[in-house]
Amino acid sequence: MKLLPNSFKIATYLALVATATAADPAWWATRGVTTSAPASNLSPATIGQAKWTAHQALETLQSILPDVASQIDGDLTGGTIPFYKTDGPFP
Amino acid sequence: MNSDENFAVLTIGQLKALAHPFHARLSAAVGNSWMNDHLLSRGLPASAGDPGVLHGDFLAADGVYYPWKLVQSPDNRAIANLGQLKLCFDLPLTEDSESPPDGLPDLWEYAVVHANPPGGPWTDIGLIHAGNAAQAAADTGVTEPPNSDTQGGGSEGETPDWFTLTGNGVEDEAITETQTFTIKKGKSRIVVVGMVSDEYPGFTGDQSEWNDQLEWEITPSVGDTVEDSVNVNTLHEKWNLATDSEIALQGFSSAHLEKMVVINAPGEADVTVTVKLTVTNIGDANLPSTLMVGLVPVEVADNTFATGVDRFSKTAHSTDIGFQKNFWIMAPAGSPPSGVGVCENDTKIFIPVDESVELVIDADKTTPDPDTISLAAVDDPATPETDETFNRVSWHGDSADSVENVIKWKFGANEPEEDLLPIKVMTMKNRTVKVAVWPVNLPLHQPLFPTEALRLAFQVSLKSRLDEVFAYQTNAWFDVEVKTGVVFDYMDTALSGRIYTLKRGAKEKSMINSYRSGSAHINIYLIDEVDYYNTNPDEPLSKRIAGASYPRGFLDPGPYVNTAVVNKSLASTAYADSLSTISHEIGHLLVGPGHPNEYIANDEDSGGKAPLQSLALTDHQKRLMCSGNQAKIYYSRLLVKSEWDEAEDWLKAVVDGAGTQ
Repeated sequence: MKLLPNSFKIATYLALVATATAADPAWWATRGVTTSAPASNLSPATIGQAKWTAHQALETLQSILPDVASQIDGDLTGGTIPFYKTDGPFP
Repeated sequence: MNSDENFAVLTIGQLKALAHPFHARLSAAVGNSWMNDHLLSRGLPASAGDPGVLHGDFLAADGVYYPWKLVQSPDNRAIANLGQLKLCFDLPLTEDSESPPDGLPDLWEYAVVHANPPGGPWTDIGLIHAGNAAQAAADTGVTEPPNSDTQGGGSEGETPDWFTLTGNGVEDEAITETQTFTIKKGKSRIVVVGMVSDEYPGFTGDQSEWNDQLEWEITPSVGDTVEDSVNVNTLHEKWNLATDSEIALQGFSSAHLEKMVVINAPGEADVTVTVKLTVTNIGDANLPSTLMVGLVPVEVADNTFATGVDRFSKTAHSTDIGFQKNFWIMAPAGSPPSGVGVCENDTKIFIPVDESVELVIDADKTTPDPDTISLAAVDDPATPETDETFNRVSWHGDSADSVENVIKWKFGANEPEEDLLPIKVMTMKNRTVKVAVWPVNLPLHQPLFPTEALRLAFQVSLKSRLDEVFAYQTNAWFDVEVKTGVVFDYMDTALSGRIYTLKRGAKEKSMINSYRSGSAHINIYLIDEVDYYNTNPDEPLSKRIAGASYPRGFLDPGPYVNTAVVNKSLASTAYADSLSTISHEIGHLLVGPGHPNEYIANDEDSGGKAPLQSLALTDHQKRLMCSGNQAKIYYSRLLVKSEWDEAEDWLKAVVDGAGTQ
């Protein structure tokens, strides 16, 4: 994973309360990020879930702004894998 | 990553690391207003003074809004929950909010506007490539390390192998040792024979009786044996030069590099190299001499994938069509159409001999910048972008015509030597290819471009895409004109509303005759998806996506040379696919028929000019000419050296010449 700039490391996370204020993005459902199971926003997330979500976001973005998808992919892989693999979970 | 880790809990720090590039890159591409509006819509607080502006707590030092605060004490080690994960990826990538929907994702439209602000000229700044053409040509973007992907035959870092033998035996005793090394398939090593002696400088004159002898025999499993011997008395002047140049090897100062030879392992098998060294202490048992043989990796990497380096073809089997023995670098001549700066191709060269050894590059038709680099080791080959010792060299062509360069390489204090390294440079002429795009509106279909803005946006994006593929790899820049939509009764009622393909379809020929730009080098016809017969009505119906008529290999090209028909919907989110398909079809015009992933033995057109069929090393999906479902919209874009040559032939004939419209 590429190192992040220092300014980023001092960031803090906003405890989330806001996801219900807008509809879920369409690609969540079409790409299997979410299911019909009830939301469980307070459950711990796993690394696998995070990788799957990021992978699907990247796949979606690739059909819209492919260069940006490639840049993000490069950032995430630190350039060590030029292109993300499509045969398994990200990366 | 170990698959078990997928079940491990996610931490806040990991989540932020994962989400950070999405927000940073998207904001750079579409502007901050998109992210501002998006995060406000998700309920994040606005600033006190302006309800339309996100609270400043979320604005990072890099000027980007993130869905986390930049104040308060963080705990990146805390466990992230699903809600937090969802917020970070709650990105409306495909949403089309107009009423009625215009078929284009808002995100894409934001990108168009951001790249082409209202009132500004429709410049040749790419829609997606934020930056001018010169900057893009010398991209300083994401790095691609030399030895981390399947191009090179292995993902592990390559480090030099050294074999050092000191002749510290008794008087006239020959000390001999042998070691065997492996060069992995697809890799290249330069074998460096270096030497030092404690006899130097006092006892290496012409008449010294303590004339130690150094012998080496280097035997690869494929290729010729390299063997020779020297006496230290003959090296006095060489060591003087090495001393003046402060050259060291393996911790020994005043090291002379006597011999260098490259051994390439093609894609079919590893090469083993047996090194036998003998050092004899002549005349006494004191002041020994030392012989060193290093097998040093040679790698050339692109700073950004598919922008003018072919390190792909040399990893194929040596019998493959299109195989290259060398790395190839494309050195673009001239300036980009913007007129800003000159065309340059950024590369990275990795030959970790020793930090004291400099490599001087002298190319006859190219200016390398810099022309002298230190051959220091890379601290961490996995992250060369953070390693200053990973040498970046930009290449600018110095020739009015395309030409393969003669290059002399000078190591340390040695004399320049031609063909010493497996690195070749091809200067390519700066050219502009004119493309006319005809949106063909069918009588009963929606117009392909309902508004003028969308037509111009598509024109900008197509130029950007074509430049990214062809300018950065063949120095051919594109001048694209998307014509105002024409209406043509494309369907053939005699065929139940379907039509023949380009080769036989009377309707299609009629359309091409009706709408054709004589001043364009290439004419493209965009058709909203229709069903085709596949060249022959007796054959089963198949839906043909696109076709190109080639300047060669097409039996009766007539007026249809350099024409492509692209049968793709521009509705919904398919335009990126259309851009990709058009660039692939133009690829056919420039480099000929065939798809590398469809190679059939003894069918010379099946796989194109470089099928490089040893798929394990040469991933066809990275190639522009990869076909159909195998191709990936964005990263199927690589052109390899054999294709550069084909493109050069086409450019010379069509763009430089009278043209073939």
